[in-house]
Amino acid sequence: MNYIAWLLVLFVSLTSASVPAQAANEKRINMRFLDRSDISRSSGCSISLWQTNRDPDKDKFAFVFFEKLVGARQNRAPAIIKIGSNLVKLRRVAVGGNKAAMIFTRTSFTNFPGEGHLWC
Amino acid sequence: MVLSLRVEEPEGEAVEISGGHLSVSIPGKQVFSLSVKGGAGCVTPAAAAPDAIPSNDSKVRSARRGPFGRYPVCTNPRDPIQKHVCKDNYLISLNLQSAAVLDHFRTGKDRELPEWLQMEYAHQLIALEECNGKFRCLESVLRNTIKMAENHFIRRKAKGLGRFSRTRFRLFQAKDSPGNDLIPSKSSRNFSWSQRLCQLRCAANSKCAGAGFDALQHNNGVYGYCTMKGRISQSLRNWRPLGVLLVKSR
Repeated sequence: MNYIAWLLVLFVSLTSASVPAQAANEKRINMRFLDRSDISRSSGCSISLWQTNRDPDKDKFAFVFFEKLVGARQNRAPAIIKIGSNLVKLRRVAVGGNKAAMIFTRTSFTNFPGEGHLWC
Repeated sequence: MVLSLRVEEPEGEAVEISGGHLSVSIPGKQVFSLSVKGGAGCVTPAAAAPDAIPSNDSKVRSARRGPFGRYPVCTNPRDPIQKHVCKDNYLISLNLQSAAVLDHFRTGKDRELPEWLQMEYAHQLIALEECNGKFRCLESVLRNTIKMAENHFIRRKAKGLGRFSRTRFRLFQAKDSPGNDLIPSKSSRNFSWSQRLCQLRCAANSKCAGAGFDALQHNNGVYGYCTMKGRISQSLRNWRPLGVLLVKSR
């Protein structure tokens, strides 16, 4: 009887410890680096961002954001980031601050309808 | 997702994002924030003439150049299709040396510009013209100038270019009319070369009706006068930055 009670206590304590950890993980955004195959900087115009402490020329995983400008009118293709294993396409919805070339110092993006629910 | 970025001044075809934050928010989840750096630019065929194609349609022209496109470079003033670029004379200065060069011009000591530097500018004018808009060729010419600067400028300023893997060339273009200019006459490329340079300067300016190089009107026998219709002008106060060309020196 004592043995069963001890096992029960152990089970309860283990499950009660893992639940908060799982809950915390579920609340985090699983942001990932983009694969090199996801981005194409070999032609045309593009804007790319990488993690500050990484070197995009040396590190295999560095890029976190990529936006391509396409066509003669340099239209913006959907920007991409990676969350989990999914590439999330983003649409620019607002700009502000200063502008240099085609880049604003403050920019907001949202996802396309039906592709998750990313918002700003 | 929100981007908050520090964007540096565009340099030629590239824009550097020197720092910033990327924040992602999804309902029910913790906000994700990350420090980022970045860059923006265009990759174009190396042999393409940079913005040397004239067009009356400014939209078409800007589209060809792209948002981070190369600055227009006057490479062949005699070429009618570059007329919109080659309105005036132009001058190339090394960015790292430009402070010294600018001082020479700004303080009115134009004629005290070191002869070797003056000559090098002249050489570059000719060499760039011969590049005929080929970008690789322009890079090659400017790379040679880096070598020259390493050989000469180190002695003068004790500050070399050797530690720089990438060197910036800042281009200036005159925005006023041509004048009577002193240009080197005793160069390795002899008198005809100086005469050609003089004609080149005239051809580069639509206001120049004619030009002639006179080696007899000289300054210490080193410079001859390139006489053109217009006022005397060699001051960089009247020159405007045209752009920056990044060249890998090694």
